This record gives sequence, C-alpha cells and structure tokens, in this order.
Amino acid sequence: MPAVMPVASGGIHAGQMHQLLHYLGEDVVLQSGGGTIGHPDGVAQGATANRVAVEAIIQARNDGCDYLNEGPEILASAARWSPELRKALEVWKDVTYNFESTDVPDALATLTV
Amino acid sequence: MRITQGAFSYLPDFTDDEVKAQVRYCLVNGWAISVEYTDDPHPRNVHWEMWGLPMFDLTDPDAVMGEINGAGKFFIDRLHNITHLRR
Repeated sequence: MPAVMPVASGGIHAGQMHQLLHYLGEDVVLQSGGGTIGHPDGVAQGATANRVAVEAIIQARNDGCDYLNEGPEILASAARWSPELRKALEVWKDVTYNFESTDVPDALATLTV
Repeated sequence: MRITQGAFSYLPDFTDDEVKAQVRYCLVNGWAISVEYTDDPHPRNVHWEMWGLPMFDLTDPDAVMGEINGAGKFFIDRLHNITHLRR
C-alpha cells in the first residue's frame, strides 16, 4: 500500500499538540480551523499560537524529552513568553475529545433467502 | 530582522546549546547537514547560498557549530565593514 498522510481535522487546538504529534507522527496535516480563527485576539494570533505549540513540542521531542507526558508543562512553559499561546491554552483548556471509535460495522446481518 | 519561516522560527532565538541539540538529533537520524544563508529571506526564495560544502560525512555536532558560527562571524564582520564605509 502506498504511504498515506494522516490528517487531523475537527476540534483540534494548540493544547493537544503533544498528543497529536504522538498519535499521528510528524508527517501530518493538522487542520485546526476553529482552533485558529476562534482565538480571542484574532486569526493571526491563533495561527501563531499553533505554530509556537508545534515548534515547542518538536524541539522538546528532538531534545529527548518525554513530550507526551510532559506536553502540558512544555506548552505552559512556552506560553510564559508567548501571549498568543497563553490565551489559546486558556480558551480551549477544557476541550477534549475522548470519544469511543465510531469506525465499527453497524450493519445488521440479514437473512438471505 | 526576525523572519517567521522554516523550522523553529516562532520560538525565541536558540542558544548555541539548543542549536547543537537539534543538530545532534539530525545526525542521529542520519541526515546530512549543510549551512545556508541569504540576504533575501523571502517565502518564495528557495535558492539560498551554501556556506562551504555540504557536510555529508559529518558525525560531530561541534563541527557543524563551528561552521554556523564561522558563517555568522563572517557576515557580522562584513556588516560592520559596510556600516563603517557608509559613515
């Protein structure tokens, strides 16, 4: 099978960056729509918050940090000098998506005649 | 001048130790490192000049740091000379 590019889209935001990179890897498209334009200071600030978050996590990963578990601290640390990220983390801090998978067969077996 | 393109451009300037850590990560992954520079850091300028030679066989981060700092010193010195000439 040829390689495919995972795409995360829908309800993602800067505060989940460590999880997104852990589960999806670095060859990934992160389509953060609401998590960008929903930033209280504006779209550009939302984009900056996402860039700061992804770069802070990648730097920590490359340095050998346990970035999945230390992710919230790494992001909080970057938010101390990045007002854009600070506000994004504050706005979306309670937004998580821990759904059960919906990718299951839901067809009922029917009798064949 | 701050530019916001390329990796880590949204983070504060790296210290030498932080640069070296990233260089080490590249080398551990088996990637070749080259130092490039430009006086036109435009998003669509993909043709930067290369500083010296590509370092295909390099395994020591310190050697890369030497090249980076050598390039930095060269351009800072040149900038000072230009500033001096304009006075």
